[in-house]
Amino acid sequence: MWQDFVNAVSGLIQESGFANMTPLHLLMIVIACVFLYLAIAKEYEPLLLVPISFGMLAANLPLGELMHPHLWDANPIDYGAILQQGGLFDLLYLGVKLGIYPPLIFLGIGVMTDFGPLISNPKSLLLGAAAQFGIFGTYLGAMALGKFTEKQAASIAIIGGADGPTAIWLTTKLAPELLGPIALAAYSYMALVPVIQPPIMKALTTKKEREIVMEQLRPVSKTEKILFPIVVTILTVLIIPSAAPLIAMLMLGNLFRESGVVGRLSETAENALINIITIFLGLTVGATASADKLSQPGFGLQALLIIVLGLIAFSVGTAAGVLFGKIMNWFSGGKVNPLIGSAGVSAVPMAARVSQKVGQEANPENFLLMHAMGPNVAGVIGSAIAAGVLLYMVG
Amino acid sequence: MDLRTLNIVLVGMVVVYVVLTLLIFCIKIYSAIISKFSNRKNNSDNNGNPGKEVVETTSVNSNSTNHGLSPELIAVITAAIAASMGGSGTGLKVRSIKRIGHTTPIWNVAGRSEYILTRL
Repeated sequence: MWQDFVNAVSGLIQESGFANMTPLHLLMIVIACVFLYLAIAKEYEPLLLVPISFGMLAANLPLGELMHPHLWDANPIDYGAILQQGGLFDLLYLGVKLGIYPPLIFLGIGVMTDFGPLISNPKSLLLGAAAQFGIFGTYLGAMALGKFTEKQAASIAIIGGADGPTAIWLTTKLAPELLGPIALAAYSYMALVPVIQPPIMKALTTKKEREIVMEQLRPVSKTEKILFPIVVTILTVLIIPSAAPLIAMLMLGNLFRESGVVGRLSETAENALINIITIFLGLTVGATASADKLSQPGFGLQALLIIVLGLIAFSVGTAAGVLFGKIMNWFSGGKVNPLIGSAGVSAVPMAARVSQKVGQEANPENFLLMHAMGPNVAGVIGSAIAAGVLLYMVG
Repeated sequence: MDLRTLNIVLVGMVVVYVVLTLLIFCIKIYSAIISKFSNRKNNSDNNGNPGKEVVETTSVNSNSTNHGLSPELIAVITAAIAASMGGSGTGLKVRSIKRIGHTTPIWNVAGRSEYILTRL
């Protein structure tokens, strides 16, 4: 009887996660715990980082069978096998892989976004475009390194768009094997906008330029606001059909908001729906960062390069926005504060707040927030267009 | 660095700029059309009823004497309505201000006044 007891206990230990734990699993668990600490104690984008890092933690516990990376690495992917053998995270990951979650998040963002400052000053769209230099500059850099394929370079470059859902959407289409590090880099840098941007903004502008007080924006009528999402959808999707999922959903959300006749739908899209999708997206994106991936030769170096390139993408985007702001200031005869250019790198509304803060440091009576919201929301449209262009040209 | 990479970068930036510039023109065009229409509408309203505003002002004034509403109170109520409706408030006309009876339970009123007195 004693022998049976010992056999049963040793069998349990043999088949437990402890016995199957490798040093890589342990490393991933430690990394996940560090991210959890950053999310909870330091409050770095906690709404995203908590589900992402917990997904990473749970998926790296051996024998948990929540996620099966080998099913997703198959070429072509056998969706039948995923439905039959997949774990919980595999099934939820279908929404990422099939490109469903990012556009649904854009629907919620559309409801939350007021395009009024952009309609009031349409020229700010140019600042949103300038900030996309970060994306294409990084693409150039990633290709020059020679460590990445075209598709991987495009996925890394989109980090410069400072738009999490866009980065995830493009990466799942072009280089799903890099989804984990790219999503983590994109969201981490978005949280670090107040740290990364101010030194670049101050280095590229004079105190006199930062002190410029801009004219008050004209009021925008309700009709203009209602027409905006319709016009943007028609024009953008006709020119770049590959950007349709992101642009169409963003604009549908905004139409919900501005039409004022579908209050219940707006409320659902901006609260319940976006929260549900964020949980699914965060968990499954985190779960893709598995120990198996890390054991693949060269993946560690690639992940490291992604972190560095992501930072370069962000910085170049910020610098390009500020420099274009200076050009606009010069053409307008000193009426544009170049600081609003840095808000062109999406990251709504954090980047606009940074413009406001840096502007107010130079001139305490200066209020740039609403002026910066124009390029800020233009950056969302700009990065979705850039993603569509990259998908068309590289995909 | 091969030619294809440079080509992708160049085409990408040009397309982003072209699409967003086209958007600028579209926004400017439809904004101009809308403001023209709303101006025309405002003008026709004013032409159709000359002196209407004066009449309304008079009626408000007469109300203010009848019900003890001060011009400051009328201005505050008008500003609050304009702010809650959004926009500049142009074209907003206050025709009358009527005091309505108490429909809020007395406890709610007491709570609200306590909140205003202690927190604001």
